[in-house]
Amino acid sequence: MRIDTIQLYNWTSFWNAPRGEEGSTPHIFSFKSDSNRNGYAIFGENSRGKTSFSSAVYWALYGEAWTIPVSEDGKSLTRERRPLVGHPNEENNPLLNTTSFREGNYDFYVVINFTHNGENYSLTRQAFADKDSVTSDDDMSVNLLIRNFDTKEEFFELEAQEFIISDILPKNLSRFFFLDGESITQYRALIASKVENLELRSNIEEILNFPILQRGIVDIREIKSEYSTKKFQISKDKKKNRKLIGIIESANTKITGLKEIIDAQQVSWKKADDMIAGLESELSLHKSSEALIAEKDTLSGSMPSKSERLRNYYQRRKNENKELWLHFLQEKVKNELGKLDPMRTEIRKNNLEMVRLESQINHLKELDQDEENNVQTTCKLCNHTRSVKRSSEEKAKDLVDMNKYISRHSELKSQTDTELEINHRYDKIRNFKNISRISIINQNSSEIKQLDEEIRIDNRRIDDIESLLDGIDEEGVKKLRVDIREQVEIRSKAELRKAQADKEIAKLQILISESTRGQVGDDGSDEEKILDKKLRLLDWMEGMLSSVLNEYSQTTRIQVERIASDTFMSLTNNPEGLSGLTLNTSFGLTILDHEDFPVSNPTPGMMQCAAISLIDTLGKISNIEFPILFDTPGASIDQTHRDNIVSHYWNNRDVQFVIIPSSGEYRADEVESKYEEIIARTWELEFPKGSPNKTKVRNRMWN
Amino acid sequence: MSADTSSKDAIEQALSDYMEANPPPDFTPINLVERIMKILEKNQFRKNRSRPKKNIVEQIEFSSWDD
Repeated sequence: MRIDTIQLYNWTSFWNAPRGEEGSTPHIFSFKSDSNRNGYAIFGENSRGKTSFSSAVYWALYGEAWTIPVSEDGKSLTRERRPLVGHPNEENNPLLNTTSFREGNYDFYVVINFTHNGENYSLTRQAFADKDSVTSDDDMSVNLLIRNFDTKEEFFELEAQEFIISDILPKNLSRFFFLDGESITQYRALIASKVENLELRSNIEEILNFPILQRGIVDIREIKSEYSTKKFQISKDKKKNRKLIGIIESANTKITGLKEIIDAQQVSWKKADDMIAGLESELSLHKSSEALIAEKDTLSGSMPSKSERLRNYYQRRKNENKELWLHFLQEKVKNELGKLDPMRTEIRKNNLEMVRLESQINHLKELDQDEENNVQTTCKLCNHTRSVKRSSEEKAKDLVDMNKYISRHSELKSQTDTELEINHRYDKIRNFKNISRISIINQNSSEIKQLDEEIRIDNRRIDDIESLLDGIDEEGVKKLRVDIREQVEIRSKAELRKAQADKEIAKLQILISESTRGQVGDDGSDEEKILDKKLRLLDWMEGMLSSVLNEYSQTTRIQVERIASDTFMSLTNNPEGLSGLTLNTSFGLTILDHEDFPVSNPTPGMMQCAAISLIDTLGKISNIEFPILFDTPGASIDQTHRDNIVSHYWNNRDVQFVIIPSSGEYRADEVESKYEEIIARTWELEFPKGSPNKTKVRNRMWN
Repeated sequence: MSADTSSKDAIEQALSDYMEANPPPDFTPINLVERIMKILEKNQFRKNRSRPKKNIVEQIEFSSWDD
């Protein structure tokens, strides 16, 4: 990147009027030179905006600006980020001109027009108020725009920031291009330290283009990993496909088998159909005979049942006749019953007497018993309480009575069998009297007559049919029907088997379809081969980058050491007493005396020159073309060193080199006259009379 | 590496030397290695590596890998 112009509007001490008013034209630093020289210098008293110029470039690139590092404890340096806006009384180094802030004009911007890789760009970062009244940065917005005048491309915000970092100057490498006396002092402490500073080493490695190799190795490794995953997936898919293909093949084999079954069933079906047609055709010739046969079969079939029914009716008629004869004896039975009635009345009377006698006998037996046990009891017959003790007369009388009762009871009992016989005979004769079955017999005879007639008719019909079927092969005709039924059954079975096979095939076809869908791409063989090639190439690339990094990291340190040493020798004011610099593997730096021994107590001037030499060397051999802005280059060094530094950069470097000396370091007229031949432009910053905080730029071009 | 050689030149030289001594596989598509290196160079300072990786994969994928 080479700067063409830088415009500052309301930037720190560079006051501007609101746009459209007189004094609104931005302050322009033109780097254009007819001489193609690279020497630039900005002079001015303190607070005129010299350091702010460097900050303007940094802010335009990265959107941040910092105060000059100061040491509060004499050791560590601290710096603070500068706010966008602030009231002058706050003294917080705001980026907006404080006069403009008071005037209510909150807009400020930095525009850098530059050339990069042969194309012309402008980079604009501007800040503006979101509100009418601004009190803090929260009320402000900042935007960024990069425009390519050749391609007409425009990048905004993040895209523009990305372009700066990746194409112009990575922020962490800016320390090699934005130099100031204080940071050089800090840097020299870092490189002289015995303890490795990882950040410094990382910065140095980055500026030496190590990232192309270091990040390249990581990138290639990660891409390889992605391809390996892909290859693994293909291999997995192949296995899955193989499994699915196996399923499909098995299903297809089953389908083939089932189709054979279907074909066989169809043959069988058709054969059955043909046979049925043939048999039915043949049967149609015997249609009338078949009907007669069927009728005869029906009649013959019903004959045993009718004969059986007839036999039953005969048996019943026989029984009924027997009963009928008994009926005819009814009158005689009536007379017999009349004879038996008085006998049965006598039997009933005897029975009652027997019961009474048994009761009296039992009573007398109980009396004997109670008397023996001396129990006073109540008479069951008369309900009087009797003395258990009877007189001898009473006892004798009771004994006579009991014997009399027993005798009578025995007499009556002896007649019992005769009485039973009489009752039985009576019951039997009475039953005869009740029977009358003439109507049943009549009905039975009618049934017998009807059945006889039916059987006679059936037999006559069978005789007729037999005479009609005379000469017909009845069995043959019957067999035709049986054969047809068999064929129908065969056809039904074939139909069923075919339907089952069809269903099975449908299921298998679904399985095939699912398995086909489940397959990933083709068999992956070609893709796998190509992936193998890609992986082999990436392997090779990783090997190449690792090998080159290893070799380059060794050779480049030697190169840096040699160039830095040469630069140091051209900067030092004691070339006879010193031989150069040496770098360790961590880029730690040591100054060597004329006998190549380390200088035990190097002066600040020596160390400052050594640090500048290393920084310059790194910038020189990096592939980054960016102007060097060197603020207070003469800090901590004497006049000879200062002259050597300016002379070295302006004479030996082909990048724009801007020195921004503090007021005591260099006098403008001396520098201009001494380096008239190598200076491109100088600027002098000053406040017009009576207008503090309104820097004016005096621009001088040298040809 | 001479005193005037930039780091970029030095790396290019080292890569070139390596490739001469260890040529890439013979199936490597023409200029693919150079195209990948160009992407790495252009994006060497980018910390977010997704874009360069994407660009490299695109270059690999858009190359012809047929025999």
